[in-house]
Amino acid sequence: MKRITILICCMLLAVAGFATTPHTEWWSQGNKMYAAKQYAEAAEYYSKIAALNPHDEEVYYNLGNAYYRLNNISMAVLNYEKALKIDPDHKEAADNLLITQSRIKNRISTAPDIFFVRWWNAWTSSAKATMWAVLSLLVFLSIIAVLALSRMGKLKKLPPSSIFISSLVLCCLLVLAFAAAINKTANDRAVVMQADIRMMSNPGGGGKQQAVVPEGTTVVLLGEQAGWAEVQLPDGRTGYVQKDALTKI
Amino acid sequence: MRHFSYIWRYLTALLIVVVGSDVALAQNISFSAEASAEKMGLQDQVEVTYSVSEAQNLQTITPVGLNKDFQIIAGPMERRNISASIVNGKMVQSMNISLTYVIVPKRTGNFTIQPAVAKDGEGHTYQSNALNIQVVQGSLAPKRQQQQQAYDPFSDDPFVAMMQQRQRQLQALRQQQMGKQQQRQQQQGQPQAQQEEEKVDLSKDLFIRVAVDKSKVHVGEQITASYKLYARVAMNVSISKLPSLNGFWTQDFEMPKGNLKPAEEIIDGKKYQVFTLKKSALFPQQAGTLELDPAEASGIARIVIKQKRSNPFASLFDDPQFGSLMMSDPFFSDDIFSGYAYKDVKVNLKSSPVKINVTPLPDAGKPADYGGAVGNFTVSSKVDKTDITTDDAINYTFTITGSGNLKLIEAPAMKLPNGLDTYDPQIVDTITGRSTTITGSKIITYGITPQLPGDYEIPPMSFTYFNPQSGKYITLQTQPVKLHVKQGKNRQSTGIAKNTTPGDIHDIARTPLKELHFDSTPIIYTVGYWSMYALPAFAFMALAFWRRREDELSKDVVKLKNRRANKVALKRLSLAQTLLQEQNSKRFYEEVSKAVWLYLSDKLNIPLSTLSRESAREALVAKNVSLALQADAEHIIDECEMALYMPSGGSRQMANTYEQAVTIISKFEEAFNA
Repeated sequence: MKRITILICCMLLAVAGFATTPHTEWWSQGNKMYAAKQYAEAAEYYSKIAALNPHDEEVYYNLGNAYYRLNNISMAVLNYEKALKIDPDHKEAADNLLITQSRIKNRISTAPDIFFVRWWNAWTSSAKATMWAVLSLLVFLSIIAVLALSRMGKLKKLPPSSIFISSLVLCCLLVLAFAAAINKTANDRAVVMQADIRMMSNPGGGGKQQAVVPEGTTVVLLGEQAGWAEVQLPDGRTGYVQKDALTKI
Repeated sequence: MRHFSYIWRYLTALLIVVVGSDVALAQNISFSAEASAEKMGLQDQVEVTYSVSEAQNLQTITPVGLNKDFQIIAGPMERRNISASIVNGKMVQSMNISLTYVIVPKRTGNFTIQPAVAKDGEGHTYQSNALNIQVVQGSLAPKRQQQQQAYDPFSDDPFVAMMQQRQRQLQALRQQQMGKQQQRQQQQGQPQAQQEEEKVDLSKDLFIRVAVDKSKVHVGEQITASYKLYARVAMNVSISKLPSLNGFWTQDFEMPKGNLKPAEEIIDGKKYQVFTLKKSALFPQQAGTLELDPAEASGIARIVIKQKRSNPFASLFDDPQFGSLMMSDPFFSDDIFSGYAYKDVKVNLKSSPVKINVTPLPDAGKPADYGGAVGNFTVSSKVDKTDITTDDAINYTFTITGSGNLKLIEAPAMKLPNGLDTYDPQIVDTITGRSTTITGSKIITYGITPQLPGDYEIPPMSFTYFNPQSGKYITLQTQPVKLHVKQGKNRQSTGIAKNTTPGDIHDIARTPLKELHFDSTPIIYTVGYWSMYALPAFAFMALAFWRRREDELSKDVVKLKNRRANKVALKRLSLAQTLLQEQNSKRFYEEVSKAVWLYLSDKLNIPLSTLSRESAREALVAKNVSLALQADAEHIIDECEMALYMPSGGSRQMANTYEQAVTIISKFEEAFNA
């Protein structure tokens, strides 16, 4: 009897120990430091959790806030972008990102997309990947069910057009689900981490200078070669920048 | 006769000399020193003149002690008067030489200027008298200047005075010339005289040269161009057109003020006086072959034409010691005894163009932010404050000092961390040295305003220049500067407030973080998700297969029923079959008829005794048996009854009847069971 109690106690302790893995501690310490305006320490704690690469947007959001308070614009942008990548509907992160970006000097403004591109982007945002997947599964199941019932003779024979239409809907849903999933796993965006880097027309520093990209700008990666990355600026211009100056989101 | 006034003047001078030469005839050399004032202010100038009269072969005059208490600011100016007279049938020449120094005192007090020493060719030395000068505080000048000007054409700056005088003379000359020309025109006179003037070739005696120190340079490298006037004749020439220096940034060198003392240069064995009119530093701004356009000058030159009269003093003028005087001293040049005539000629001078080959700066090692600086520079930076609030602004001063194309240097761009703003820098260029190279500094002041409190670091500024000596780019860097910015009283959230977004960021998330999630694979990439498609699909396929089999099975049931009905019929007709094989036709038909009736009686639950065609028909109608089948049944019963009474037919007919009976009973069976 005594042995069993000890065993249970040990197990409980183990569970308790597991529950307080360092990240919980780091998290509460970070929050405490942030509240005490010790932003550098707070950022350090949050960074420790972020180093584990978790899929929790709040970690990156808080880290972004700490960097913002430290006037480290590029790191703040990077972490807000990371948070938004995990949860594109994170309202606070989106707001804070806007505020942070407004502090970038000579910021390259974002070219507005055409409405259907906006819609497509909204529909295929990574947050909707699961929704589209589940919806397409439901549609598939209902098609199967109807077919089965009609086979069993419990339903009147269905017109073939209805089956065709529902298959089309299923296909569309699957396309959306895949597009959103690709967005979710995509690793094609980066933040400029150095002040005023030059974007050239050719890799390797050759060609003409296309633009001066300020620190904290979010760019889309189009390709890479020999230390240079082909990027697209928020206003749609493309060119080559040194890869070292970028950090992937 | 043009020089009449001058001749007159000299005649007067001669007269005086001749009168005075009564003493000179005694071969007495007199050597005297004279000061223009005996009492002077500390700020005044005084002229000290040493005159030697009757100097026959004078070699040197050396002032003694003039530099001790005074400073020589001008001089010595030499004046010579030469006179000749015929005494006792012999021509005697005499000469007065005077040396004038302009001096300023170094301090107040009573000073004695010691006697000067003169030496002649025979080795005799002569001494002048000593001079006493009293120096007091302040200036006694105005009073004296008036006196001076009354009798002395040499004012404070004797050189200027000389120039002025020369200009006056030339002006008078020009007027004369003009007058003469007008006269000639009036008289419809001969233009030969004028032509004669133009024929004179002065190109060897008077010309302008543009001298450059280098003819092959890099873009931005300094070239020193000197505009020199070479002259062997008396002239008054001024620059009428400076070359247009397209493609250059120019900076003029400082010329020694007021003292255009000519240098001497010997070209092709001829001695020229060389006046440097202008000296400029040129900085080419573009590559290629640039040309310095010719410089032009115009004026009047006085040429000397030898008259038939021989000059008894020619040997004197040929003395190299006095050579310079021939050209610089109009009085002297105008000497009537020279036996020379003068002619004033209008001259237009033009230098030959100079080509400069400008090579572009090398691309190798040229940094991207190169601002075009060529020369030799140093940089420094300074911040006026480092501990500030958000209300303050600071000045960051970046100074480029050195020699080169300072004015052409672009201000380097400032890279500030976010949170600090700068506006367009103020640039001040100061040129401090203009002696041999253009030196100075470019002071670039960046105003920096902090937007938000915090600790910042102004990154090092880098500045690159091209050193033409080494042919390399050199990059200099300043030290980074640390700033500490505190929150000021006037909170201005500039920049952020302009946006539609709220002024400050949202607070951090505080919900406890229990578990970290690591799996972010989209559901669509998982096996489980697709198995949820696969399972119902397989289920549906299984269902479809089962349904088909069921259908097959149900088809078999119909077959079974048929078989059963057939069995019943065959069973009832089994006796008839044996009778058919025995070919007992009478009993066969009896048996078929009996089997059908018995079957109907069984199925319709009507006893055989009461069963008639009518009752059977009614019952069959009630059982929904088709009329065709009823007719078939009646037809076979009729056939059997007819065959009983008139047995015809053979075995084929019997077999046919049997088949029909089997079919009919089977059909009834199916109809009843349905």
